[in-house]
Amino acid sequence: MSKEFTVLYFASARDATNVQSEKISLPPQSTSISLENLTILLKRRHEKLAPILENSLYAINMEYVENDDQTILVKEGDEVAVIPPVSGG
Amino acid sequence: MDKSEIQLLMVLNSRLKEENEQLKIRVKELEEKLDKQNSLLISNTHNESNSRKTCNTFDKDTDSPNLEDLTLAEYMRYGRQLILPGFGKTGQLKLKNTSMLIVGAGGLGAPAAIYLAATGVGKLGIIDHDTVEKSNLQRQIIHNESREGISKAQSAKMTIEELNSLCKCVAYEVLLDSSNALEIVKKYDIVIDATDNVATRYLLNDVCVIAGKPLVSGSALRMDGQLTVYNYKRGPCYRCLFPKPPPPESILNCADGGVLGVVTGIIGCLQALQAIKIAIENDESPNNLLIFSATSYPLFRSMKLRSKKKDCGLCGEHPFITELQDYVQFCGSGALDKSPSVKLLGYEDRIEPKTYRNLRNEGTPHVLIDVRETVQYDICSLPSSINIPLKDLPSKIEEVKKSLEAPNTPVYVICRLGNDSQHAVNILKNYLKGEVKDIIGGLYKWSLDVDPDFPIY
Ligand SMILES: [Zn+2]
Repeated sequence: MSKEFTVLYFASARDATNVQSEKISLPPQSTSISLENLTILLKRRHEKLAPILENSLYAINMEYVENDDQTILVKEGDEVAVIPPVSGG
Repeated sequence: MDKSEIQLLMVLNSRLKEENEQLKIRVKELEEKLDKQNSLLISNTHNESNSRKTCNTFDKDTDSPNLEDLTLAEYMRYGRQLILPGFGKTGQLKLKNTSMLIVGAGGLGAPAAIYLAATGVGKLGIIDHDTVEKSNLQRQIIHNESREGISKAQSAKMTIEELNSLCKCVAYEVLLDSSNALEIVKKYDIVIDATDNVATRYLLNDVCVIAGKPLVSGSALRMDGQLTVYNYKRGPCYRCLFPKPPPPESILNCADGGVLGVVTGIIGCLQALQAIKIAIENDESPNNLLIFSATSYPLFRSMKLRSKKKDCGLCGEHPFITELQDYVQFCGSGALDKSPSVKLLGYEDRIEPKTYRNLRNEGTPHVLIDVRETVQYDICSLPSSINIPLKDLPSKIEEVKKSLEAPNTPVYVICRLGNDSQHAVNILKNYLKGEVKDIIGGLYKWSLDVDPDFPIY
């Protein structure tokens, strides 16, 4: 069994991926993934998500994390939310 | 334009003028009524003045100075909330002494303004440079059919004054920008961001940090919404979370992306609730970003935010943004470009709707591709057109080729307004041998120039 985490997509991120959430396996033999590598992985999975990730927020288990914070690791069972800004009204 | 159309427009014009005059008279009547009530309130209780705090954003000369206690009319009117534990008379008095500025009298601002006026906020400012259009009424419930064509700020003020004459309402019929924002915002205690564009969001964020006001920010698009309070309780500002604006071409607005009225209603009501909680100083919750998604379960999720970012250029430890900027330049788009018209193609790659109609009537062999989203195609479409949404086009080139009678059969592309169709022509030109043109102005212009029975949406 590979170790998995969940990604939730909101607003335009959900439109770009066509899914509300998905389970993603951690890279083989690893127990976590950095936010930088997560971004690379998500861009590879969903081509249309790439420009949206440039301006989106990450939350891990619904707590905001700065996406350039290198100390943050996504671990097995974590729930990562991709939250792009909504600007309409 | 032919004679009958001109005549029709003239009739319409004179009718609108007449309506405008009537509305102006009504505004005057209501203002007089308000003045009368205010002076009545003053005479009722001015002998009870004691040393309770009065809010410095009230203009002492023109506003009611009766801020220390509730009047008999107020006890009766607000009874249902006065008896609430955690609100009470103290809460009501705080509301009465609070001024709030609502920026945008649209889908978010409409319900926010209605509830804030009804609940007894002392002074409400409403900014909007736009006028009421029929397509607003599906969500902007502070306006109605008789207000079509008049200023949204004035229309909102009219509704508020009919609803609660105790609430002082100021309408600003201006486009908020760097030249006027600080002066207006300074006059209010709490600012409510109910705008529909990124440039105004950055402007309001900066002005609120500079002026030291909490910014209750709401947004909504399609089936989604967000709510956050910026520059509040040591929390982040908008720039802490979103230091750079999204590229203008990636931003959908309500006109292009659509929005369900009740979604803006939900977020607007939450903004009103949040503003009340700030005003009555009854807000224990940590800084958070509330996410609403009408199609997800659960409907609401709350993301906990951190405190402000140390290196934020505006509110951080070493700020370098110390005055307002040019936000249209910063964002690459402004409050006024709702659906900027694209000019990608030269005239040789485009065709007028009327010319295309002739070609259709003559039975010239061709293929018509409609690149709107399928949900839009299903609303209305031209007979014998093929629907391939723009985003799917690159992967469907073979399908297009198969639909051609001969390799050089001409292909015409249509969309709603004539923007996406130009992108599509640029894609198709690389693969097709025959003529590829887009129909200028899209189905909108088709309806105006060729077929008045074709729906405009
Ligand atoms: Zn900041």
